[in-house]
Amino acid sequence: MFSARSRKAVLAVAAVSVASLGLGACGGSEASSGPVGTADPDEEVTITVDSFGGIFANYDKAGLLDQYREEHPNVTIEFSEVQQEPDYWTALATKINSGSGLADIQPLEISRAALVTSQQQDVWLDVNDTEFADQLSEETEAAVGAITTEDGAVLGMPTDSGPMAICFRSDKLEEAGLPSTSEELAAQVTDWDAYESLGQQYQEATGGDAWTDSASGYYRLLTSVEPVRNYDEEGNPTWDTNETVKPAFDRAAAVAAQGLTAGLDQFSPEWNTAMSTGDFATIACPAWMLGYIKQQAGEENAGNWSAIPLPEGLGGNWGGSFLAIPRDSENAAAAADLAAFLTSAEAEKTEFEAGLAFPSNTVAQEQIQDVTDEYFSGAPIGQIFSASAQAAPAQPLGVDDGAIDIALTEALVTVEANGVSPADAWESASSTIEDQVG
Amino acid sequence: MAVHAPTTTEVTRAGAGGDSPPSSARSSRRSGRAYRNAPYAYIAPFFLLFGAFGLFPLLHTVWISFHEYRLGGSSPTFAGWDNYAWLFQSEAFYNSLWKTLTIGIISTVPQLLFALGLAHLLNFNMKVRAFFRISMIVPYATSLVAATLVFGSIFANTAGGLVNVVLGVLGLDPISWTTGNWTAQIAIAVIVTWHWTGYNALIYLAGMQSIPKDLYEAAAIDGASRFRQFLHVTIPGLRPTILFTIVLSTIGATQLFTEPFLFGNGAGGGALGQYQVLTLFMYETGFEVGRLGRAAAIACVTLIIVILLVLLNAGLAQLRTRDKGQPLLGRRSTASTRKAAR
Repeated sequence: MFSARSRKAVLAVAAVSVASLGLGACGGSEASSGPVGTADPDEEVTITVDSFGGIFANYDKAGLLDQYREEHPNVTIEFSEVQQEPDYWTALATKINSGSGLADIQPLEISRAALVTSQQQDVWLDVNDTEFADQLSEETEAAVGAITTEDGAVLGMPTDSGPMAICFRSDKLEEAGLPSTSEELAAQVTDWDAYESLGQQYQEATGGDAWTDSASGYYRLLTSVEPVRNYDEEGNPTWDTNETVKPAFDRAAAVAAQGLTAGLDQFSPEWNTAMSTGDFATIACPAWMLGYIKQQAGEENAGNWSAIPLPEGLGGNWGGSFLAIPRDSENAAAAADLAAFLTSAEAEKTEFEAGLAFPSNTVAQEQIQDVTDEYFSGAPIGQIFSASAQAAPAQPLGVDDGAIDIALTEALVTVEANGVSPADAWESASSTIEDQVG
Repeated sequence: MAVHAPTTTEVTRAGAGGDSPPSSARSSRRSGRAYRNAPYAYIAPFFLLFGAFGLFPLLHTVWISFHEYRLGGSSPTFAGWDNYAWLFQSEAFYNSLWKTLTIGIISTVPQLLFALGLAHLLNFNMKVRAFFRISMIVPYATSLVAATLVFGSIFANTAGGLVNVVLGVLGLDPISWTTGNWTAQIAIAVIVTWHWTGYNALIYLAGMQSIPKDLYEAAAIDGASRFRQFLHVTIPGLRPTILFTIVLSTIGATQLFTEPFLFGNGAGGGALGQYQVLTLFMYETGFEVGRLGRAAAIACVTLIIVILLVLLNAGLAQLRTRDKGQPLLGRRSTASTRKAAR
């Protein structure tokens, strides 16, 4: 049978690529395109995708999957998606541990990148070994650097990035008698202190409504603009001593202790609901949050939201993902072709224009400067997010970033919901981190 | 005290019936290796399955617990007793032990008491008894996930949660159920109690029906009220059944997972670990922090704790029967020997 024979051939290719791992990133020995050949346009192939958080749902919404199917009638794409990244990661990591069950394309979130590049070099295909290596030069250095191993292998193609802005409920601010257009508010929010004192004004005007959704969201915002977060350049954890984490924690905890936050758990059902009810006025807003807000707040809130850039010309990043292909995939060549298409400048531009995700591709970033969004009251989101992306520092990542972030954000929740003092909350977060990571 | 006699003789008789005499008689008729080995072949499938899905995972867990092994990471490296050393100095571990104990107590005790009372009521002759008996089992038959989600909205923190609405009618302030220490534990204990009470009640009911009716009649003639009958006839007659349910509930409480996991939207067990029981701690360590070696160590320690608890329960029960039941045991043996002699 043809398919059985070709399966063997692909397996052999996969074996070769695994074997070549020991030789480092010395490129392919077979052809100029590397160990993974060009996808055969005549062969019937089904590409399976396991995904999370709407990455492929967004590709579908933006019409990119249909476009690809039209251009490649031999390709069938089957994707399944879970909403929460931690659930996805647990399932994915379990499959890696057990050595089977991976789909042909598996997205990876940037917070996992440190673990992936240090411990899963054998699992994922090096993009340099495909014919799409050139496309990496279009991507931001921060994105490519995050997914590059010590040996220089690039284990995934960057899909998007999460430059930070602040989104707000223009209707609620107007009711409270505060500046409510993007321009006016941006002029008022000159630094974090100004942002917080506006919050106090808002609270006084509304009789106690929350200014922002959660202390953890504000903490994310504050840490995203700093040069380092939990780890230093050498990969050592410095969260307890550096100039980022403790000051940001203290600031966010103080805001929580003042009652300016709604005390909602991010990504919980209550938090989702509050987006449409307006239980909070502002929210830390990475670019992918635009799509999230639209989905949760619904059409009835179109025009009630808007966005401003971070104060002082700051920029930050929260999130971003990569499309990774398992080395053992039988359809590696076809999967690489699809992944390259979906992360191309053209596709990422299309996605942002649909208001779904901000490109990590620099060529696309230049093309979307003029985009505005009616849902967000016509705010110049192209300009806001591009500026933030350019100003965003490339923060070093660490293997236990996730555990450290969770411990700190949970400590902030205890300040909001349990009345724990900020100092005690820091102490308990520190001991939790020592316990889990140390 | 004579209460036990009929049941015990039945048991001994049944035991004697299944014992060696008939089988040895048969084997003397047809001896042969194939015949002797046949039983092993019959039970082999069970042991093969048990080996693959019971014993191997168990031993593998023990093996992993001595290794540094990350979720989604490279292969395990030997770490000696490191994982256990970490575990026994971890505050979160002692917190989770304590929460397992407190949630276990506030869920198991009311649950067994309710079950006993309900079973006693159902044991009376009444109309539509079958209907009540079946409705007892409905919570047990309900999907635990669905039930927990419903209870999650009943115990919602907002003023719109059902319990808070009731509190509001009573003029009380709404309670933030998931964030408080005891409120969260009580909410979880309510879910557990709701789910398991009917199940235990049915077990008790079955036990009660093996208590001879004439004992109740005798007690009634002596002028004992329904409640006195319950105390002095039902409870002593149910002692082995009660022990059984206590052992089951103890194991269940140690392995509590679904309710707190879904109640708190994750394995953290609340921001302060208010309801982070042992299994949640294990899950968090293994699948959220990603340290499989440490999680395996927690699993091993949990297993040892369960075994110790069961031994403790059995030991306590033995003590009690030895205290009160010495003459009973003597009479029991004489009764059975008398029967056997006849």
